[in-house]
Amino acid sequence: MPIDDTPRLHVEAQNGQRRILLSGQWVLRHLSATTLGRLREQLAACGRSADALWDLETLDGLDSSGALLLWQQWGERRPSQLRLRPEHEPLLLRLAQLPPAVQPPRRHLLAPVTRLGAAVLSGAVHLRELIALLGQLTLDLLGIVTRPTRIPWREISASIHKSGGRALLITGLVGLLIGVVLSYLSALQLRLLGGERFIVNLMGLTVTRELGPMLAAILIAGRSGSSITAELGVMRLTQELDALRTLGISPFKRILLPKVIALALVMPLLAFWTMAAAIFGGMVVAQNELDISFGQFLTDLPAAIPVATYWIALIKSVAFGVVIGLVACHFGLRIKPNTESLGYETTNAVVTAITLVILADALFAIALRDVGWSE
Amino acid sequence: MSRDSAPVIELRGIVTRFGSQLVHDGIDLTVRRGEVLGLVGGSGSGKTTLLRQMIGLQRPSAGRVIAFGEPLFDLRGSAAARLRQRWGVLFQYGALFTALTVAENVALPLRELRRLDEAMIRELVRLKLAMVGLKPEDGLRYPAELSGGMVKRVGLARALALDAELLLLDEPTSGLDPVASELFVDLIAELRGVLGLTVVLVTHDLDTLVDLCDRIAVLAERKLVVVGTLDEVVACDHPFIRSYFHGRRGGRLLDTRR
Repeated sequence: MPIDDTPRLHVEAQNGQRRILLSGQWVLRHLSATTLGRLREQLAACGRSADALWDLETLDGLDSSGALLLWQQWGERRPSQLRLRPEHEPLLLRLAQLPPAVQPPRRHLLAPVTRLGAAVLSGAVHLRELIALLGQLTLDLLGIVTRPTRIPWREISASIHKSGGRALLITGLVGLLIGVVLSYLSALQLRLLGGERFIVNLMGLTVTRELGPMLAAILIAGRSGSSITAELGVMRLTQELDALRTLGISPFKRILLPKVIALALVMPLLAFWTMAAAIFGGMVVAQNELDISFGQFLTDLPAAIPVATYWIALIKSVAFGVVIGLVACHFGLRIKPNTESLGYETTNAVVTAITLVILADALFAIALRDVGWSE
Repeated sequence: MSRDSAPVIELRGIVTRFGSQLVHDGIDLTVRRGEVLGLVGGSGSGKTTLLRQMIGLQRPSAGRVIAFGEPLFDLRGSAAARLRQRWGVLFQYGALFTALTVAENVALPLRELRRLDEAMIRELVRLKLAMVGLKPEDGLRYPAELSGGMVKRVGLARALALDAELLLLDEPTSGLDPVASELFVDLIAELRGVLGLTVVLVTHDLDTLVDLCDRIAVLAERKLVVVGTLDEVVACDHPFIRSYFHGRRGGRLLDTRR
């Protein structure tokens, strides 16, 4: 007879007593969906009749899935008449000793309200922690400024390279493209009005006052903010921050502060670089669409942009850099030791940083609405 | 049944190269059904690499791996998937899925079969957790909330989820304190008796080796120096074995055993 591993059972009647014979391999590997369905039906047909003799001695194999199938049929207790191989005994014993299942906590009816409250409270906690972080870093900054030998030059310089130098290409490219798009749209409108020459004023003001700093800040929030968050998170997970603390080195001074300082230094530079790229894009369009030569554009430009505008852009960019750095560090320190948290907090950092940058920009716009317009 | 007496894993002429570095130079090893085989060797001798090759995670530069009578690296698709269900692996750091709860971790291999209904999966998970000595309420916790010993237990429960015939353990007791590691060794020994498992384990820990293994394979200088029972291995005169088993700690252990 060929070897047949398919789990089977059949019922015999012997002088008025039913004998249920099991054979084959009652193991998960041989329990296909169809076999499982068939066995369930057959088992159900056998019922729980107490007088039946369950003969498991002819089984070739029994594993926990097979045993569980039988156990559930038996109503979670041993049938009174059971023949069993000794090696299968421990498995049934385990099933008999299984502790009762625990139910996961039920969702409460007011859960949405509780969630809303928790979200508001967590927002408040974030705000408090951000302010505390800002305070801590300010104190650390004062600490190292009074002792210039303690300034972490190397770390600051490395951060400048990472979040500044390496971001030149992307900020330049995005600035250029936005400049082209913006001036192309304006050129169409200005030609209708016959005010072609005002392209210089339009481009100069929007780009320096608003677009340049904002574009650069949003790009850096996405690019450097996320990497700072992830880096700090991993350093926390691998206990590098703890190791620094035990060596008497403050992670705030050595890791966080240099990054924030670097961002505060780098943001204005990147903002001006983005502005230059955008204005160059505008110049190219102006020459092609409105016949305004590079020379004419550059002659008109200084008159179109009051010096105060540059100061506003400078101050705004420094503020944006600090905001991005603080938010990135804040979320980096909140990362918990699991993979989900890393992604979650990094996303949070980027979204929060961009939102705060735009919010800060709006505040600057309102506060400085009377400042820096020519005439 | 002849099929059942066939070796579980056979390695034939395994050669492994990492760049220009030769790690294994012609390794032959047979894992017999029902035995516990311990793999020892110095750091960087390629024990874990050999373990990974046994289950197809890493392809050797040359040589053949035969698992349950089938050439491991020649199988494709469903045949390979079926073969993979016959073993369970406990990774050194547990490799639990941190985004899932303990119960979901153990349930994952069962769910992936797409054969069992949810009620049965829940019961099986409860059974596996009990088998490795965890309480049902531990099932609701996340891996990040567990101690090192518990992570290993959950990893073991997941490795056993499909009632694997072959269990591979990479450093099962590393990172555990002596008490926890003794408990874990007892647990593996007990499960092996109950489930009739074949076990291959990589370890640095002499106690684990002595308490658990039927046979020991010693990896040194890119070759298997000796494969045999503890007494046979100890009797072998090789510099690595001398320093490993007859060093201060090894010697003490063997003395107390006699």
